[in-house]
Amino acid sequence: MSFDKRAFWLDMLTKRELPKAAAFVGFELIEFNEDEAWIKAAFFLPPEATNPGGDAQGGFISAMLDEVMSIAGSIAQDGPAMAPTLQMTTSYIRPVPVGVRLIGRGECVRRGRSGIFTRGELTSADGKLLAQATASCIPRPMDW
Amino acid sequence: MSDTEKPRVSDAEMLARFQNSKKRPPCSDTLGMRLAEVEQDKMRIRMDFDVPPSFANPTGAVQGGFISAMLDEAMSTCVIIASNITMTAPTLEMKTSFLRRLMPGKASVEARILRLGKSAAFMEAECFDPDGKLVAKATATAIPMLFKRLS
Repeated sequence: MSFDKRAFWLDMLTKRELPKAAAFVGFELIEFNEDEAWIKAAFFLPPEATNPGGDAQGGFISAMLDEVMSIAGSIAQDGPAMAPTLQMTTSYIRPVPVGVRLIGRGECVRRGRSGIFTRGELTSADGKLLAQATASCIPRPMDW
Repeated sequence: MSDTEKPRVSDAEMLARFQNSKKRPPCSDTLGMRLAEVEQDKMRIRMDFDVPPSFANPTGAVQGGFISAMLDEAMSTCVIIASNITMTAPTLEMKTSFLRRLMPGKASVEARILRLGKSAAFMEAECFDPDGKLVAKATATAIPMLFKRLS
């Protein structure tokens, strides 16, 4: 039986209970393309992510980007898979507010046999770039 | 540096000031953060964390971004303390290497400042699991800014 990649990821990202970390940052799938290995999702940070300045603490911004980038790195592989992050760099371009809808996009830049490179962007609902990131991860097929 | 504007307090006093603070930002409580050590001369601190299970990825381990959140918390606090609570330092860029899995529960982070200049600060931090194994390491750059809320 051949693996239906689109059906598998649609089920993972919309039908199953969300992983706790994804639920914390208010992950909600907008769209994805399994052939081009990218994903777009909405996020909503809870007040618990607020820093002393009243905006989102940087790590939680990295957490949202890690979510879409890891999914892009997973989708880029042939079967059911994960993409554990080895290293990630985040640039905090503008303050990120909590309690508003944010848009994250992650894509696979290169899928190698032993290494995967991804990048991600976080924008406001009106399209302003708030943060960007790049990461390297490793392909890891999963039994499902 | 503006740390001459206010008299310095001892490491113990600085530690107590943070531990007894009623004005903790929400992110500190979310991460279960507790400042454990302050060494002002070395511009170094250690923080203990109690990571809630709500930060788990599908494998049950802590999602990488939340490890970055602990590292960021420690590096940012390090600048606040090194400036004698006169400055904060919004992070410009941060790079994290994830060496091992970390399960929800106890963790600790050591952070130090490599250079605190007028227009830029350079920090690094390491996250350890309860067995003392290195879980993640980060470096970051930030812009020091006068901080009015806490002073």
